Amino acid sequence: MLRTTGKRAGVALVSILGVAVLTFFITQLLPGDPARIAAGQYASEEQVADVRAKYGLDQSVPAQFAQYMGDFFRMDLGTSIRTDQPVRDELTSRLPATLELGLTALLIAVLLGVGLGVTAAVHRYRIGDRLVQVFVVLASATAVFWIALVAITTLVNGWGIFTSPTGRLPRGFAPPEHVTGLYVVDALLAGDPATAGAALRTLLLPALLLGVLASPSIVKIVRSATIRALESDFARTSRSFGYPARSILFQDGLRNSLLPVITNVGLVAGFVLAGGDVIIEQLFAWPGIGGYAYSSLQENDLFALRGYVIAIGVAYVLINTVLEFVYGWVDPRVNLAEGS
Amino acid sequence: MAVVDAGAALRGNLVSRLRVGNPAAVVAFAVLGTILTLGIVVPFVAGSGDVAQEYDGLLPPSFDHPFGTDRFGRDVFLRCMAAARIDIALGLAVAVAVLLVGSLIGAVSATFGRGVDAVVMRATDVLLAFPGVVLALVITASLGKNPWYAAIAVVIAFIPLLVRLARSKALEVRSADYIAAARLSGASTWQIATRHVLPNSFKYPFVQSTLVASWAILDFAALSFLGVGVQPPDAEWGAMIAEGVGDNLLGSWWPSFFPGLMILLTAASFQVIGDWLDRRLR
Repeated sequence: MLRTTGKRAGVALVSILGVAVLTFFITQLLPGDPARIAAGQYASEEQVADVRAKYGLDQSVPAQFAQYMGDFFRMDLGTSIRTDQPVRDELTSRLPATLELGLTALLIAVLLGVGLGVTAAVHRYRIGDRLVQVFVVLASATAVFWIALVAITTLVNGWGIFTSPTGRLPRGFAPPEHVTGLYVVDALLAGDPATAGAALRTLLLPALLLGVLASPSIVKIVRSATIRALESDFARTSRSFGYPARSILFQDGLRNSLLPVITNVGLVAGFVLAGGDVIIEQLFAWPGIGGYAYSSLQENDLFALRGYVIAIGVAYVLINTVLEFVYGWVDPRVNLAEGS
Repeated sequence: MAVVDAGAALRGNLVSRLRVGNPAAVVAFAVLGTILTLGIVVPFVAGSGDVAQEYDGLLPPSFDHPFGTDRFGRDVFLRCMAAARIDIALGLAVAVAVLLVGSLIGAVSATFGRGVDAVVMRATDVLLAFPGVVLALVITASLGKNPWYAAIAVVIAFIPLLVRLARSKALEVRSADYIAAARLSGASTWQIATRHVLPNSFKYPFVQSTLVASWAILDFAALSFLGVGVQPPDAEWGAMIAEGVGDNLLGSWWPSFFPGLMILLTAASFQVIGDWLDRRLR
């Protein structure tokens, strides 16, 4: 156990260092000229030189790298060209909005994924299974920015089911007092169910979109793992003892099929917190880190974008490491297999 | 009991004979073939009609303009078809590039011993430490806004996945007797990796690469939507959706709806074909 713990922590450390080095390589060593891109297409040579001097890009590559790694270890993500604010502070202040959206989407993805996966496994090779397969193909082939537009057109503008995509609260509501930074939770803590309801209703559509599009990989894994468990020898034994189907599903099926979901949650989190999130936050005017990345990209603020990428890379490594620990804790066989 | 089984076997045999192929795969091939054919033929017939601003703006879909016209008076159908060429070619090109590079690195990594393997695995660890789109996004943003850079970025983002898969299959092949025989007959490690391990473990990365084509189309469209891929006025599905966002919010849904539908049909077709290959080749 200790050996695998140390090994996992080591791999995580190496990966985090790798994230830093790779980001430096991509943003500062690739053929593109970051100062030119950041200063803008129509900037004069002097303006470009100014940017170069301000961000230390006129120094030698080793000196730049030393400076960069020093900043990295001090958790300094640099300064945004666009807003002149420290990138770390801007990201931190926007993090709660992204967490509220991302965690809700993750919850939806897991519930939907497990629900549909189990349904497909129980009705395997029959119509229910086929329908789930169709859902899987369609959901994994849908562009998140497109379905978001379609949803805004129909569900918001057409039928008025959801509130307008204008941030975390509809007009006329004041944000609740800051406790956790999650508006729904904070509003409930402040004893203001009206604001909580409004926040939830605003949150629901973007979270549903992200969650539904992130669910196919979970559906696939749960389906195949549940089928394997239900067709296993131990399930057959339970059946021959006359246990009811429901008990076999929950005792033999789910307990075994939910394990692989834990590792998959890491992948899904990557989509929900970063990939799909950038686009969804921009379309829904959601004031989180994805929207920040989008604005930085549009304004060619490479250094803000770099800070965002480092933060996402490190967070992603940490999430996956924690999930590996959880997996090893839930299923001790993993540690035994890795330790030997 | 035996008689019943024989009957079931006979029926099963009949059914499998009657079933020419997987119906879903047939549909997928038909859809993909239609879009690709239209993508080649329509722009050829229409000339540069995809960028010409020759109609009234924002005409809803009609007989003359099946997908309507966009804000600049361009025919959305023509643009969708001109984009089909780019998007499908890109999806296939990325899939082939990722397949070749990924399976070669995977085979080499599995064959050349622990040192090489450790380096390759740590490198993929680092690349996989980023969600794919984010990696592609920062690469393109740093190189400059250009469709070629976006394509290269998508390739880089998917290579580690294929390397992992190819390596794990290559490791299984490596211990086969014919590899030992090749080694005994004096083949070099490079020869073993490229002539024996690579061809014999190629099947799984190949199946996976059809899925890569599907994801690549989605990611490339996302990059273009974010403004770092194909630049206006060139037609590309993601870029077209980005151009249509404003009109969509004001009630004209068609300039952004149809390009997204094309993405859905194309990406879904690649997924279904991938699943079909997976079952056929396993």
